[in-house]
Amino acid sequence: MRSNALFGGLLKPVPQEALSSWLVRGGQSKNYLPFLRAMDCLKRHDVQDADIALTAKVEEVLSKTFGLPIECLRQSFPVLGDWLKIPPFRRNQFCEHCLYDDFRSGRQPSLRSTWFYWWFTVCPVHGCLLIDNPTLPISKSGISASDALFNLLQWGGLMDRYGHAPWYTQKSFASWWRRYLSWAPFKKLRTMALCFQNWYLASIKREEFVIGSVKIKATIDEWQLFMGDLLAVIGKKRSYPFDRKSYIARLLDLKSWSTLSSSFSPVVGCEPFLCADIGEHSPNIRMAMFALLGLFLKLPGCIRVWQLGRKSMLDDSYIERFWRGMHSDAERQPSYLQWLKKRAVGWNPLIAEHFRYLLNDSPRRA
Amino acid sequence: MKAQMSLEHIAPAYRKLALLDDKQRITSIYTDRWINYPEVNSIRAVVRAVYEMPRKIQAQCVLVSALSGMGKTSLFTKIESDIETLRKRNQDYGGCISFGMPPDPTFSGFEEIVGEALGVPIGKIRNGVIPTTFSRLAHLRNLRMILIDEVHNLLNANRMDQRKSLALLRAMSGPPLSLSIVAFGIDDAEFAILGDDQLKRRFQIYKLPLWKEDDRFRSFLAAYESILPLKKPSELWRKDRVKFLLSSTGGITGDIVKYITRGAVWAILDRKEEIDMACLEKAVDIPPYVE
Repeated sequence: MRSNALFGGLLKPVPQEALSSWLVRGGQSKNYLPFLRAMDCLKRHDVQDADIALTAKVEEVLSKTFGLPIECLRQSFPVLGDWLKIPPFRRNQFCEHCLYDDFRSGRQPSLRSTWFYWWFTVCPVHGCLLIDNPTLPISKSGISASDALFNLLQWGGLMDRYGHAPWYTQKSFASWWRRYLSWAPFKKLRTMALCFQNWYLASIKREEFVIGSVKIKATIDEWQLFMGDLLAVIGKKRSYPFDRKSYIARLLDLKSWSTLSSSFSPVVGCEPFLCADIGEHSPNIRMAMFALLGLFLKLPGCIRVWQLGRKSMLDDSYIERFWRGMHSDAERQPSYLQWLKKRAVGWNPLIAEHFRYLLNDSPRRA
Repeated sequence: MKAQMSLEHIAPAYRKLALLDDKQRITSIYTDRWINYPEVNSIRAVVRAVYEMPRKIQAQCVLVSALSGMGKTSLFTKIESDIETLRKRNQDYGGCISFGMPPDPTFSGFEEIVGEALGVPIGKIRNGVIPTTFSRLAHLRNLRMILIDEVHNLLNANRMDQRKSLALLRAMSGPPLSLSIVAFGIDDAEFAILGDDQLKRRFQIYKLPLWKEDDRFRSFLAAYESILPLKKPSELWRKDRVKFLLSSTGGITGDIVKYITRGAVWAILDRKEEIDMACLEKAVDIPPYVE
């Protein structure tokens, strides 16, 4: 818990605020000198990205500059690893409601460190999808929260589409978008993505991964390798007109071209169609990818949400059949499953053993 | 035993400072302190009243003008913190932004400085029309008031920029935003603001007068003395000291405070523990030097 006494005289960071964002905000506060000195110090130590695990030396210098204990800095600005971390020049994903709330409460808007990860797709405070704005000019060091809010307000942003703003005007796209956000399958996927996100956050903080009551002993890196391979298959693209519409596109009711389509011919094999960069997909597709990843990992929260509205209970074979449909809906040589099996050689044996149902050719009979 | 020393001439909250060592007492003397007196109290009350007033089509605006050194900037800072306290106490109260007018106030610079005060750029002002972004930001924060210091700097801009800036202030204080503008500046500020007839009607002018020999000044001196960590009473309100301070400062608050604080430091260095005429005379000529 951050206390005012510790940050006495300094601008207090908001929960989850990124260090870079706090420095920018502090640089414009009344007591701006320590923040300017800290920014100079980061430059001197050639730190391009302040939101990574800093070296002990840099931490010490920052601690001296602010007169704060190193432990306090670490707790206020925790680093959540490097897995699927967005490079600074592409960091334009944010929760618009958090930005509005920041501004409403009289402070400058700030970026949260969790927004810098592709696996973070849903705002845990407002329960809404994080949005990205490709029209936003991004500098080398990323966008600032102020610019993001300015852009949202200048162009109407998605606020008009949500209809929360008093200057909301009825537009055909606006009404479609509002319907889409409250559409049951979308809400289901959003809740599942939130379940996955919470499970992953808790796991990296505890440094242990527990699914249901099973604790699987593997390092964070090994888990990341495994989940990265599954995501590559879940977010795979289809070749029009040879393949059926991607499952995620059907789930999200994407009627026209999306980033789930590719211009490659199926003869090139499966690898060019795999999702190598999660950032190439739009926020709703990313959200669906992590929701399905949670389901395929059999996270209890995701299974419960997926079950909602279904008459029959989901059993293990359902998820296995679903996975089979996911990787075999497009014919490739070698197939997606063969590719995954090849990759599984590098997985931690305990992970490979626990998730062997993902590598089965045919589903287990119930 | 020290605590039993008679420190009744010092306000209770400051008595413990008199027991510190000389260096700490000198540091405490040089620290900026706020002293209330009737004129600033009434201005603070006016600004609070304007802030709490229901939104009107044409907002009530206030101009505080005084000579340089009369404590406008201290009053500005005090009012900023008053508003912040009011806002924190009541969530329904609107927001307030404050900024100092830059010495070279071009029109684009004016846009920038408002953006900096808000923490978000407001966009370009074209044809004197307030940008939509600013309106939306003001709506989001329920903005009620704008505090501007050094408003006389508007006169440094060229005629066209001056007219544009005044038009912008007029637009801000009118519907739909109806923001109350509280501006501070030297006497020239009146010329800067009142150059626009419509603005002139919206502004009420308050002045901080020069000090003269009266009870008001004596009570100000007594109040200032009560926060100085000197072990003996200085009786600054005595006729000779009042006359001396007024004749050497011309009644300017900043100079009066400067000579009193310097005098207090001399009183410590000379082991007198009270500001006598000799200390005040030294204070006018030589700033105290602490080895």
